[in-house]
Amino acid sequence: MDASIDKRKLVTNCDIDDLVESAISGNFEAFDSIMVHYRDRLFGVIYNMTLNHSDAADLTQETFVKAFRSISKFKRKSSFFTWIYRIGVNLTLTFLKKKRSKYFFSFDQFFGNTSNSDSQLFLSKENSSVKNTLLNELHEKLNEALSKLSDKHRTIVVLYEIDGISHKEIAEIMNCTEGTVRSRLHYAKLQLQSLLSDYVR
Amino acid sequence: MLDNMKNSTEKPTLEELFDSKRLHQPSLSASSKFDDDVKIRTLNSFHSYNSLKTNKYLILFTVLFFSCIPFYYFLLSDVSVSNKSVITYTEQKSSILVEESSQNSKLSDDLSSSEFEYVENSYLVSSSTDYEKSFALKTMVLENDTQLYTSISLDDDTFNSQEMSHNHTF
Repeated sequence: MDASIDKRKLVTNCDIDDLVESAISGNFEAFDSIMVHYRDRLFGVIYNMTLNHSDAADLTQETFVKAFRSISKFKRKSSFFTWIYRIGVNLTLTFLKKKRSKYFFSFDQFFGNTSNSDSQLFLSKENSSVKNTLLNELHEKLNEALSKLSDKHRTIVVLYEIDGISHKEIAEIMNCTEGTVRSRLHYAKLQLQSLLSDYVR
Repeated sequence: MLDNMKNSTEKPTLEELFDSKRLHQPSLSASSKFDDDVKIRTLNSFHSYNSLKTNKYLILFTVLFFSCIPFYYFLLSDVSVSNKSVITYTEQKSSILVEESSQNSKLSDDLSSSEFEYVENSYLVSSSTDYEKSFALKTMVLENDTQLYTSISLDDDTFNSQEMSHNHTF
C-alpha cells in the first residue's frame, strides 16, 4: 500500500514523458509507475463500457500487457494517455463485439470517497444511507440505459460524460472525426434521456 | 424507492446523474493482486511471444530448406542434360571433320580418323588487354622444317619491368 502511494507521488512529481522514455528502453519499474498512474481511470472507463467488474479488471490488465509489449511502437504523435486509452477502448470494443452483451446490472461494488462537491447533488436533504441506496438504484438504471446503446455510442458517453475527456481526444482515441463524436454523443444523450425519462428531468 | 421518484418533481438532470456516477467510479486500488497479475501476464506474454518468434524462424527455415531440394535436383538434371547434348554435338562435329579431311588429300595423308579428335573450345575469350599483352606474339619466323618465333612476356608483379624474350624451337 505504501509502495503504491510512493509510486503515485513519483508519477505526480516527475514528468510522465520521462517515465514513458524509460519504459520504452525496457524499464519495467517505470512502466509500473505509469500503470499505477492510469489504471484506476482506465478501469473506470472499461467498467462503464462492460458493466462487469471482473471483465473490466481483466481487460485493464490486458491493456497494460499489450501497451508494454508494443511501447516501442509508440511514436509520440499523440499523448501517451490517448495512446493507452485507444488500446483499452479498442480491446474493450472487440471484447464486447465477441461477447455480444450479457451484461450484469450489478451495483457498483467499489465506491470511492465522496467529496464535498456531493453537496451539489440533488439529494442533499436525504440522510446518507437512503441517499446511497437511491444513488445505487439510479446508477443501476443508468447502467441499464447505457447497455441499450450501441458499443460506440456508449463508449463516447462514458469517455465524455463520465471520464471527462475532450471531443478532440475522443476523436483520436476512437479514430474518427470530432464531428462524428459530437453527433454520436448528441444522439446517445437523446436516447438516454428518453430511456430514463421517469427518473431524470 | 425509485417508484416514488417517478411522480416527484425533484428529479436530477442527466448531467447530474453523470456527475454522481463520476464520483462513484469503481477503483482498482483495493485490488493488490492487480499489479502482480499484470506482471505475470506481461512476462508470460513475452515468453510465448519469443518462443512463437523462434518457432516462426525455424518453420520458415525448414520450409525454405525443403523447397530448395527439388530446385537443386532440377538444376542437376539440367546440367546433365546439357552435358549430354554437348557430347552428342561434339561427336557429330568430329565425324563431319573426319569426312571433310578425307576429301583433302594433304590432310588425309597426315591424319587418320583414329588420330583425329575434335575438341569443342568452351573457354571464354578474355577482353583484358593485360592478358593479351602478356601472351602476344611479337614475331614469328618460319624456316624450312624449323619453326622459330619470339614472344614477349610481361612480368605480372612488375608491370613495367624489362621485357623478356624467349626463343622457342621445335
